[in-house]
Amino acid sequence: MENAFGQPQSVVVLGGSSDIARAIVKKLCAARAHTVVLCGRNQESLNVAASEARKFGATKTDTVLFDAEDPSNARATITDAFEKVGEKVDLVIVAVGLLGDQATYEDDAVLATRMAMVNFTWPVAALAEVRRRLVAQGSGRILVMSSVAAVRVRRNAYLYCAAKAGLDRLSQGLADSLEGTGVSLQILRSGPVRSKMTAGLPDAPFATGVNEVADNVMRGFANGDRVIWNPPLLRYVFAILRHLPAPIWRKVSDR
Amino acid sequence: MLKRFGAATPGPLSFPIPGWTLALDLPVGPKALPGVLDDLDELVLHAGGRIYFAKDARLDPAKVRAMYPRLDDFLAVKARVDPEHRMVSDLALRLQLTGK
Repeated sequence: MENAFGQPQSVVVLGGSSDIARAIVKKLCAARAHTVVLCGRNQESLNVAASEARKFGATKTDTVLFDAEDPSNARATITDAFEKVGEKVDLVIVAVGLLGDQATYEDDAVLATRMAMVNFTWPVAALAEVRRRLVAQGSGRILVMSSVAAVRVRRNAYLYCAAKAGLDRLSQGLADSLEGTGVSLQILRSGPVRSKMTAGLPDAPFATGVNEVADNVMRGFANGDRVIWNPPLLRYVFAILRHLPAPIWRKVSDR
Repeated sequence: MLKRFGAATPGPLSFPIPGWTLALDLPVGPKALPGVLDDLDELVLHAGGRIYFAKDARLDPAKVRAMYPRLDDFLAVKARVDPEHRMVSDLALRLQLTGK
């Protein structure tokens, strides 16, 4: 059961080896989290993330392997993760994502579908089962990793941005549907983050490190913000950017 | 608010200890607050004091046993009258008082 600061005791992470998720889990474990179940596609990276969680204070960790390109496994994955927690689940972090390489994917029907599958379809399937279970237990919190990319789609990454936009909108509706159930959903809209997902890319404007993201998420948990922005200033920057005329947006977003 | 207490009652989870309690209202918000409150709990613990369950919202469950040395007496009673752990609250889950 989480405390008044929104610090959970039991956590399920979908996309458990994501650098941002790992930074969040470290802070959660340093606070009150004692049980962490990490779900992902690579056992070795999950093991590394799990031992990290234990180093920061978790007393019970476990892992679940799944393939985010196949939404038919989402329900079984969530069932497995909740069973491995073995008590009420306080927090589910949805950190599944694939930035991909737009230039390679945009003219390929299979690869383009893959982007939609990993960034949107699988999370949607997982959220349906997470919602059902948390509402049944009457408490819990969901953190969905959206992106500022969801606010306005860029031409150089429109497959990723559009999938995130879909997930972001779905999460808003889902959050509203949860009012009064004891369950809540919060959306993380982060700007560019220096992580393995963006390794090799030039540092974008407003780029932050993973610890800064995790700090902002902790504050968002305590305050119960519907949307957690990272860095917080981007909330105002994107209030303007989303209304720019398309020709100007193309120039701005190519940077 | 300052209150002066007398001795505990025979209940195993009785809160009072002869001495003073200080109640302060602090707004949730500052990033450092959770850690500061954990440090204050340490001070209270070292002074032989304890946190009042009915007003707690964030105590570290690891500190409960030291604050309430008769916790096992309570859990023994609970195991006897509620062997299937039907009586449970959010507070009991958070502070691991269910005996499960």
